[in-house]
Amino acid sequence: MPDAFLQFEFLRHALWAGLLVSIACGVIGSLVVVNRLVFLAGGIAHAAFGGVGVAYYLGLPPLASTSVFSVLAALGMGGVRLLSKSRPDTLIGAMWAVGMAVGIILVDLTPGYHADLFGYLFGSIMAVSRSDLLFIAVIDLLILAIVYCYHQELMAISYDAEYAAVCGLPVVFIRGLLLVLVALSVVMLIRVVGLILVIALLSIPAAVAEELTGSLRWMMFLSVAISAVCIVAGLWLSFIFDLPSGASIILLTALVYLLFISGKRLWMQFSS
Amino acid sequence: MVKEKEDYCRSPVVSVADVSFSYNRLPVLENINLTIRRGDFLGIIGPNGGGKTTLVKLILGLLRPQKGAVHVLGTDPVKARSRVAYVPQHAPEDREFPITVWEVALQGRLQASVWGYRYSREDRQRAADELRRVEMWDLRKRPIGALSGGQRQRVFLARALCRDPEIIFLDEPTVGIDSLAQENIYDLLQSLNQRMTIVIVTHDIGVISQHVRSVACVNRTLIAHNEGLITAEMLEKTYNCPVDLIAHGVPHRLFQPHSS
Repeated sequence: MPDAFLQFEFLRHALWAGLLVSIACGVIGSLVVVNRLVFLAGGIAHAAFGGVGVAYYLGLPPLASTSVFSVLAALGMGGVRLLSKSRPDTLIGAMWAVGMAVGIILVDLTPGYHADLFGYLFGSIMAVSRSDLLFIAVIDLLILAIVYCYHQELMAISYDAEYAAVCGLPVVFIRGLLLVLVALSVVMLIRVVGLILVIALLSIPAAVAEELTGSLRWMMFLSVAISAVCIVAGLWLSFIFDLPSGASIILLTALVYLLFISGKRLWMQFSS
Repeated sequence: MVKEKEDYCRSPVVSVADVSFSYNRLPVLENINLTIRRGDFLGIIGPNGGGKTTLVKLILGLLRPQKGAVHVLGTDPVKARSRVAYVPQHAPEDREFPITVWEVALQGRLQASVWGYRYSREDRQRAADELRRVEMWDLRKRPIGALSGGQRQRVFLARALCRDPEIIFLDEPTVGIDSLAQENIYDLLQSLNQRMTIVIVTHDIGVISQHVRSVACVNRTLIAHNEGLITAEMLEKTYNCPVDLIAHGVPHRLFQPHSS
């Protein structure tokens, strides 16, 4: 197996992609979980398919088009959540489906056979190119820089937004910034596990990490490590057993979560 | 000289002029006029849903009045925020949230900064002082979710005090806290009142009556704003029904004898 990773360029790229997206999974995933943005992140991931459709129809570069579409969807959903007096989740659900529908129609209107369409839905980490890796690395750096600078502000608005407002923090701006980072993380994760499964990588590693620590900073570090282990191991399993990589990664991650939760339960029963 | 000092002490720190506010066209507050003077210990009382919290949020600038004007420390509520502190009613209930007592207290020192705020040595010192004052220093490493209601309320008080506020607003600070912890918090507030104006919102008239200097009754309109006297008539108007002035058997300076 290690030989194979060294031997084939696509496996080396896949490995790098897996390790690089772990950074976003851990850092942004932690913020998504503590801010209860899991549903919203799922919405962004699906609405992003609209961006894929636009790219097909207009012949634009998919990565750029999907990024713009996701960021707009994220800000739209964030705005709805902020302004809607009642049931913002209903509106977010609607936007989720509308984005997807726009994508389906635009793809259908585009002539030709779309072989790589499956990749957007279910991921294609084995087909990650050098430019994809560069995109992922740049977004990672952006995420790390912003979270490093504004971690106190992010923690304050996550924990108690009203108090943060009384402190004079620009709550809406920081929320918006967080949503933009979530959108960009979603775009890079679509490459790895596909838009349908994105939600798992943004929530499960962070959820496991949250059980292990009482600090947001450690939650981020731990969930980066958990994501990296699960993605690389999932990749390896999918290679050995010739299974779809995205789904293998997700199932392994979910299994880790399940084992962890039940293990903790058992441990608590024994120790009490 | 003495006169000057007295004038300073009596100067208004909050003025609410003819303010109305409604949620979705449902009027919550109508034509409220209220002046809070420096050094006051004001209790805002009224039934649940009577608009007490809304009034405080208007004074903090978290909400904007649809009619009328609010001034805090002679300026706009948003501009006055650095000199005002707030202990919210629904302290975040997310018990899972990964944050420690120390981190919550430090947040009291947080302020807007272009490249992100970094806590200074002074910030840490102030947070430590206030945690010691509320006797929560020993628990500073605990996750906030692991504390009891009373302990958490003390941490939120420390967070508010870190800002060196001139006015502090507390919204139902003693809900869900046993009576001993309540007394502790009120004793603490009493000593703080020597250097800051305190405004406390509560529906628990029994407890505040022993501590406050003045009382405002709010139920959509401002029923009364009195210095140091809760009368049966005031309560009846506020709650729309006769309210017993139960004083836990303690003679109250604030309560008049029952008329009925």
